[in-house]
Order: sequence, then C-alpha cells, then structure tokens
Amino acid sequence: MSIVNAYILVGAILFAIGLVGFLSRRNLILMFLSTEIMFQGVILNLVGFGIRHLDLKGQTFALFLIVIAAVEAGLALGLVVLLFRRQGTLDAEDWQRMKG
Amino acid sequence: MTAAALYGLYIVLAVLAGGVYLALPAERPLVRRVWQAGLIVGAAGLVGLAWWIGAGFEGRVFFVMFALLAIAGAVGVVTHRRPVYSAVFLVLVVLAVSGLCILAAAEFLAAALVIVYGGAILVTYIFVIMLAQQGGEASYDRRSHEPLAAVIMGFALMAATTQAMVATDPIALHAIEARHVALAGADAEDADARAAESVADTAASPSGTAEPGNVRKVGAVLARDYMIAVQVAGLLMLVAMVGAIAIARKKIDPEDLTEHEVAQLEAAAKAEPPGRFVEPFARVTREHR
Repeated sequence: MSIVNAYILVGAILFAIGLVGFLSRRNLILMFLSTEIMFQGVILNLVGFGIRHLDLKGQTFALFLIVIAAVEAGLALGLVVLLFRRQGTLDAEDWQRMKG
Repeated sequence: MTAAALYGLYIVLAVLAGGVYLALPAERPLVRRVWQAGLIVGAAGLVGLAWWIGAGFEGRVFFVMFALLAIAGAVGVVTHRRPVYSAVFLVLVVLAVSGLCILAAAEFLAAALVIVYGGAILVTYIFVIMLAQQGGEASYDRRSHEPLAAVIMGFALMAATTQAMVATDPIALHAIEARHVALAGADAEDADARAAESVADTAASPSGTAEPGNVRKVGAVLARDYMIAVQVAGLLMLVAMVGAIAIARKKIDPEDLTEHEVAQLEAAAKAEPPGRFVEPFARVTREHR
C-alpha cells in the first residue's frame, strides 16, 4: 500500500460524492458545484499518478484541468443566469422539456 | 491483510453512503441524529483506513487531516440546503485539496488551485447565487431528486474504483500470488521507496539552489512539451469569454416570452418610477418643514 493509492482513494471518494450531488440535487447551481467537486477528485488523481510515475506531467495536466474548470464555470453560470431570467426558478425539473 | 482492508473499505463506504443518503435534503423528520451518527462513524472509519494506508509516509498526520477535511467539505457541499453555504464548503474542499497537493510537492498547483478556484471561480458562483437566489432555502433545495438511486450509483462506482486501489494485486493475479509474492513485495517496496524519495527530494529543495523548484520545473514542462496546448487553452478561454457575453446579452423574441417574463414586465410597468417620492424621506421633510 503506498501513498499513491491513498491519493487515488481520496480522489475517487471526492468524485463519487460529486456524482451523487450532481444526480440528486435539483438546484442548477448546486449541480455545477458538484461537478467542481468531481474536478477536485480528478486533480487529486492526476497528482497521485504524477507521484507514481515520478514526473510532472500529472501536475501539468491538472493545470489544464483548472483552465477547463474556469471556462466551464463561466459559460455554465452565464447559462444559469439566462435560464433564471426566463423562468424565475433554478429548479432543474422545470426545464425538463427543451425547446429548440 | 488485503482482504481485511477491502471489507473494511466496503463497510466504511456503506456507512458513509447511508450517512450521505440521510443527509441529502428530503422531507423526512426524525433522522437528523441518525445521519450525523452515520457521517461521524464513516469519517472515523476513513481516518483509520487512511492512517493504515498512509503508513510509512512521513506526513500522514497532515494527509489524514486534509483528506478528512476534503471529504467532509464535499459532503457539506452536496447536502447543504442553502447554496451559499455549499459554495463556502467548496472553498474548504479546495483548500484541503491544495494542502494535499503541497504534501505531494506540487506547490505551484496548490497555489493555482487557491488563486483560480478559491479566488475566481468561487466568487463567480457566489455572485450568481446572490443574483438568482436571495431568499434562503428554496422549495427545490428542500427535496432532492431520487436520492436513493443517486447514492447507490455513486457509492457503487466508488467501491468499484477504490477496491482496485486497496487490493494491491489484481484479482486475476491471486492464483499465482504464492509464487511471486516475494518478488512482488520487493518491487512494490522499491517503487514506494523511490516515490517517497522523489517526493522528499522535490520538497526539500528550495528555489534558488542548484536543484530547480517545483514552479520552475512545471514551467519548463509547460513551455517545452505543451506549448501548443497552452496556446489552445488561451484561445479556449477567449472563445468562452465571447460565448458567455453572447449568452448573457441574448435578446429574446417578444413572442417567445415565458409567463414569468411577461409577469415581470407587467410588474415593472405598473410599479412607481424609482427615486422621486420615497416614503421615509417624504415624512422627514414634512416633519421638519
């Protein structure tokens, strides 16, 4: 058992908790917050595998992951604001029927 | 040893899953104590497990501390009924994860996490929560959508992935484990020692000495191997910025207005124009006249 396994274990737990939140919460903002938790789990995985392979590529990929997370947050929150302006609610179940 | 750890892990995960299930918002009375107990027992089990897994690693006190903080914060984000508190819990998760990164000698990543996540992304979230949801708990935050199915799904995934971490050998290798046990043990110990050494090396070398620090090394990798990816990331951010502005300024066809928008427009048309006659000031001026 090594420290690498411990990192990956914590990363997997964070990912699964984020998944539970994404599947079960109905608030749109909470769903995106849950994906941020999943991102944290993936970052821990990358760091753990970086220790395992003794190089810095894991950390570098994690930096790109942060970029993606920032982009996703910006776009997703813009969409959430637009949806809220349209119906005055953040309930995901009110947007079940999409209209093109 | 491995089998015991595996079953221990499953039990801990099951307790944690029960705690998360009961903690998810739903209209159930009388379970608050139960879920608190489940979460505490699950957390204690995780401490023991992490303590055992981290044996031989110098900073395992800090590792266990940060791991627990991260998991507790994640449960808080997922289960809290007020979105602002969820966002604040996410700050806790980010800080704990950056602590774990520092333990793994990834200082630059830790700093980037705190600056970008804690400083920028979380502020954006809190702004949007303030814009969209000013009044405390909404009805859709008090009841979650299929919590049982979500918890079963998430924790089954967790058990399936973590068993590969805790079981040192893949299941298929158990048959020939007897023959290879000495070799495999030596290999694993060797790899662990190398990993620990490298971590200690990177951690021990301050910047400015002959051995370059973590920031310089990461920068070298980024500039040497991933230059194109860095440029593409910049372009992606530009595209996202343009897209976000385009989404936020989208004009809606008057025929397409929803009931909510129509009601808002009518209310705005009916309301008094702001700033001309405000009641308290009017009373003050009348009294002082």
